[in-house]
Amino acid sequence: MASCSSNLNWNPNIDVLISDSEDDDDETKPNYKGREALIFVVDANLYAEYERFAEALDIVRKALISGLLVNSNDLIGIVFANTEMNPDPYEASSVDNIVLPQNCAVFLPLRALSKSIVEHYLRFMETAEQEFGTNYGIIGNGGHADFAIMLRLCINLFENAGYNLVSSTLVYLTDRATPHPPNSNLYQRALQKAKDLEGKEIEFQVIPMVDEFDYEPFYKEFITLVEDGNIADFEPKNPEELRTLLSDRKLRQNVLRRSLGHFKLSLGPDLAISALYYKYFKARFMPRKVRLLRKDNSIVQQKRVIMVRKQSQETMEIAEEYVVKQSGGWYEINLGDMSIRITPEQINRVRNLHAPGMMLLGFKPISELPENWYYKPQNFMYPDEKGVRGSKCLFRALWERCLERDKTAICLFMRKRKSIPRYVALIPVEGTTAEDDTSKPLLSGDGFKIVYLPFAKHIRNIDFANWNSMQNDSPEEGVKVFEKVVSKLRTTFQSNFLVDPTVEALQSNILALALNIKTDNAGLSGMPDAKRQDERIAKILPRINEIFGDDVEVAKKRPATGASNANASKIPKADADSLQQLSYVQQLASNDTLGSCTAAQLRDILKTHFEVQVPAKMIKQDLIARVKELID
Amino acid sequence: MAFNKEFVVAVLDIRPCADENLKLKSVKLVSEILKEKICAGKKDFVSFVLLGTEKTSNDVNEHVFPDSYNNITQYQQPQCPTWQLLLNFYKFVNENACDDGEWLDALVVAMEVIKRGEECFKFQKSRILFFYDFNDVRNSYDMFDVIAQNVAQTEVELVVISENIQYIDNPISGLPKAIFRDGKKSKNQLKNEDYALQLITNCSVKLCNFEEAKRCIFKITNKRPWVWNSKLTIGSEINIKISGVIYMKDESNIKLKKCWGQDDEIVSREWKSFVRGSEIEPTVEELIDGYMLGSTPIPYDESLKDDKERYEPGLKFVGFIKRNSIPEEYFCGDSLYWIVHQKGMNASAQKLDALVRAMTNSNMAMLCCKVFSTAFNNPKMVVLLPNKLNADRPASLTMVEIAYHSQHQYFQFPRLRTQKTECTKEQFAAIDDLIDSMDLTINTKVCDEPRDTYHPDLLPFESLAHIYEQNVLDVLERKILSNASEDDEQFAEMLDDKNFVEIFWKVPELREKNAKRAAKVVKSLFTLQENQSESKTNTTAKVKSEFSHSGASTATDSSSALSFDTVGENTPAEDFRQLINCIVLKIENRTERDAKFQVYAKQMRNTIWSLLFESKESLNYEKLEASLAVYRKYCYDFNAFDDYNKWISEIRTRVVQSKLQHFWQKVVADKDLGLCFVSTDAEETKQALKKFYELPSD
Repeated sequence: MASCSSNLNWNPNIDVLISDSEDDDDETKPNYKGREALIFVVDANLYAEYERFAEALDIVRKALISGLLVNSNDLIGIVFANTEMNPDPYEASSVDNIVLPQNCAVFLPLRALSKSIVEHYLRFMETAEQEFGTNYGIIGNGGHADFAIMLRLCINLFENAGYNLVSSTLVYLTDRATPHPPNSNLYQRALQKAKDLEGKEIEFQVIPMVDEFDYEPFYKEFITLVEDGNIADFEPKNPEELRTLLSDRKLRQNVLRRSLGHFKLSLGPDLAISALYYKYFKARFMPRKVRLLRKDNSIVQQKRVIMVRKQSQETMEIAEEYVVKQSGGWYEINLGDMSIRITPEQINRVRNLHAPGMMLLGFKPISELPENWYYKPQNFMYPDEKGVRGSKCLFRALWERCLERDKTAICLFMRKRKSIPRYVALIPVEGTTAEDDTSKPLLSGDGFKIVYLPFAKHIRNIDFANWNSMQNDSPEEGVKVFEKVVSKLRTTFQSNFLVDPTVEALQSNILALALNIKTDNAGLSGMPDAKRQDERIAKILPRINEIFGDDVEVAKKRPATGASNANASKIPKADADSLQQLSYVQQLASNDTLGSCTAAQLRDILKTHFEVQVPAKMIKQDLIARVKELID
Repeated sequence: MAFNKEFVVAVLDIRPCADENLKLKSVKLVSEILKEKICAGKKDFVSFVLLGTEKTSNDVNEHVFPDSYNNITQYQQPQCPTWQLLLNFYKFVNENACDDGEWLDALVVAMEVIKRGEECFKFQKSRILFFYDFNDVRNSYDMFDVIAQNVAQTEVELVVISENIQYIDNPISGLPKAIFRDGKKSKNQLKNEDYALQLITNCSVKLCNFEEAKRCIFKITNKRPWVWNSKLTIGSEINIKISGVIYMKDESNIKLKKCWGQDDEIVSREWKSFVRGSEIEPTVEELIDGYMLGSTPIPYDESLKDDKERYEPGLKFVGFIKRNSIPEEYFCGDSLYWIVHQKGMNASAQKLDALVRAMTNSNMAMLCCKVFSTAFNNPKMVVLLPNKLNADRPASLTMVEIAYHSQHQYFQFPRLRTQKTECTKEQFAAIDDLIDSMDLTINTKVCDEPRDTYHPDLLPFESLAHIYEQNVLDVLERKILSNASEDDEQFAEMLDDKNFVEIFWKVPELREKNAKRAAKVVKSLFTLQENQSESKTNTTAKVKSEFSHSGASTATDSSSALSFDTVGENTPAEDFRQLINCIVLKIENRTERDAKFQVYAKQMRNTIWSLLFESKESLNYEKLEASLAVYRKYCYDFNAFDDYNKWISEIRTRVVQSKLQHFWQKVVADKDLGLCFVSTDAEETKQALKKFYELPSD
């Protein structure tokens, strides 16, 4: 989010970060290819047990609200399946060219979310308990409307979305293990539809609204077909976890379609396998900030441009003006009176000296990796049969042997064109099977973790000699006391500890403002509760103070003039009055002692003696140089 | 701001008797240092001293001992590194040389340069890089003790760089020890080497070969790093004053000036505003801030902003968590901090020491909420991990940011251990062999033998080169040397002719041969097949993969008639013909058929290539001719001219390189197996063919 303030810091002399992080842009850039679409299908049968229905509606509500805040471009639709009636959807005219089947009701056709849509949904939710039965109702005959027809309706909705879609996902919330009795005609037709979904690259997920859910009768086969996978690989998911994840707007992502990219791993001459890599987490998202016109709230798009103007010598008027792209221009090296230019295009050519890919350099024991190192977010790597057939088998062999022998493969990795080649360590990891392991990342599976290794020049070698002293050591007793503190304040890690307080606060403010929703997690601001911590260690605290005492403040180097004015400015060494005389300044310059003036004084010198206004950001050294230059 | 300026003096040995390699490498290494300093915009100072010049020009000789310290020339003035200085340096090292001049004298001159420099400017540290060939030349060592003592007393860091330095593990000190490579040596040489080694013990000098020098001279330790002073609070009562120091950071070290306009033009950065596509120029009062709620803009006015909580800066404790339950996968941010106590704060130092030890003992990590300052007030979640205690530094914690739950991605990957990917014992053995033959650590058993690297490691984690920045520096240097400004053609030529990157993209030399051998075995045991369709658009890929499914079934059906599925090296022509007739031509779908043809065509090309260029036996012209002829014929049938033409041109180039002109004439030219054309009668075609058959005379 660019803001005006960054303009002040602009300094073309060091504007260049030529090894910028172009390879980190993966998700921050808007997706111009199309939009993501998501249809929630809620099984009306849930209404029979209203609590389940309410939970399903609430999951959808949470998804709507977080969708509203996070990604304004996503399309969301809501459909009720197995209803008795099908009242008109919201903005019914938009589904004119879709035939609405008997026992399905479209509540919301695929739409980019807006405030009014969410308000409409919230109003619906308020009255759903009483009115859903009368307005929609549950289909008779055992609650089974044709599943295939519901799927066709959704496919129609996706196709009539009016946008180019990069992904289409259908989420089915139900409590029934199968839509139709096995081996019935309808059952077979439903299975056949799975192939259609697969062909149209529509993802399907079932969210069971009961904790004991049997995937066997239908969904195991259905989902395998949709995902074009292997039925033996199917693993039933824990329904409770799925629901929690969905209300956090986390949907399991398709392994094949949602990778960051594919590349080849070369293991030797003419020996390469293909692989995909993934991110463990997305970029942090904030509600999108915009500027609006005060009078009518219309959105003002702001673009920062670089203007180049040519002044005519005589009239000082602007003779010519044109816009240069941020990526335009050139880099310059001054060599005496000659300047050498390098175009950004040439820099790009240097980036592309080697083709993208990964190359194996050798192996090391995993234990050699230094502890507590972090350099760049890790990635996950998984074989890709599409590029090179047979990759999976060789990948498995390599992975299994590395796992067995605690080895890491050291490789050079260039993710894509123009990105920087980096050294990486591939660490074999296993998808854990333990259900209750809360610390395992949500992205899990067998494969390699790509750990980026720092370049030598990015490791700062710090000499801590100035810190080191014998008096730093705590007495043994102190360690014991702190061990007690640790055991009193220990907790088990859960990834939902990691809440973003700023975003939470901002979001609840916006929601309160726009929709009059009071967010229920107001108390959960993400900031730790110091009081409770105090209570827990209350007994130990006196002992700690006894052992360690307080820090002795050393006198500050730059004493504050008054207690209130802690940030007193530097006391100038050079006499202000003398600086009013040019001869004194000249003398300072010839003695090379301009350094004794403060930066503010130097700026004054430039202003009073030379009538030169310099940028506020100019550093002292440059100021001195400028004064000298003007004196010469 | 803590400014860490250093002063480097490089002493270069230019005596004609010194090893040429040493001279070249030393100039290169000094230029590397200069380039790095130039591009990083460092304000360090640099100077040079030449040993073995015909003339004598140095401060010691001029001002102190007029008759001695001869044949040593120092560079005029210490300077900030600039491109101009680099050019001057290249000129400077070409002074007229002679074999006189003693190395201890040069060392004294360098020390004097440093001393005089330090009188004028303030440096955090000074270094002498001393390049010298300790060869068979008599040096006098009368003053050695005095000089060594002098070096030891000043805080100058001395690095002596020479060829023939090796390292050997020293079980007593636990650190590797530098030695000179064994060999036949004269008395003088032994004496020189002996004194060089004595420097190490007398004044802790670093003795390196060039490989090691590259690693160690760019590593600059910093005594006064930038710190983030703050406090760590547990509850509200336990306060520890801490300093955060950046330990590792992914950043750009090259800074170049960017221009958008000519000198006489005014460049400014401005905001342009648009409403529904038309440009407007609103005043500040006309605009308000807002946020998008879906597609609805919501004004978000000042009154709400005041509500925004200001967080108190510092580290707020959240909880202690088992070290191994922290998912490192979620570590984020661009830097890694170390947390130590604030200098001089004794109580904090002890508390932190106790905390770190308590955490280490119970194997715990700490989750905290970090607020950097009142200005940068966004709270971040961080993990603090205890660092191993070390006598050289105070107790410390590593601090790293961790991604929020809302950012986490949810994927579930199919298992890798499936029946389809089941491997045989041989396959596992081949992988094991690959792992062993590419082991980057130097085996402990051979550690008693001297080696070329300081660490028993061929690719130490702490000294990985930044390939891209290295490339940029090299390119810039070349550009400046050749004075080429925006000339694109010259630029392209330069990139072509210099092997900038390839030197990095290879297995360490010591392991290369075995790695290749092991990879070959792996290749022979695993079947890998490039999927050609991958590069095409999605839809065709889809179509093709469907075909390849059904294709696979037809192929297995028909290949039951054939006992093989690949083109072998014994009878390639016959194999290929049979594969085409029995498998490819039986496929009815055209696309599928072409795809299958491509597979065998590729095998055929590889086979011919290896028969021609990789076989150790003498060439079998008949076999090659038959193979080429049958492949070329089918290329006509399957309309695959382009593939053939491209490939045969590659063959031609390689033929010239491998000096197989006889083969070319006898097989390709005489039997007319060159480029394929639709019509062979056209005059142009004949000309082109004729030209193709003629090989460039070397």
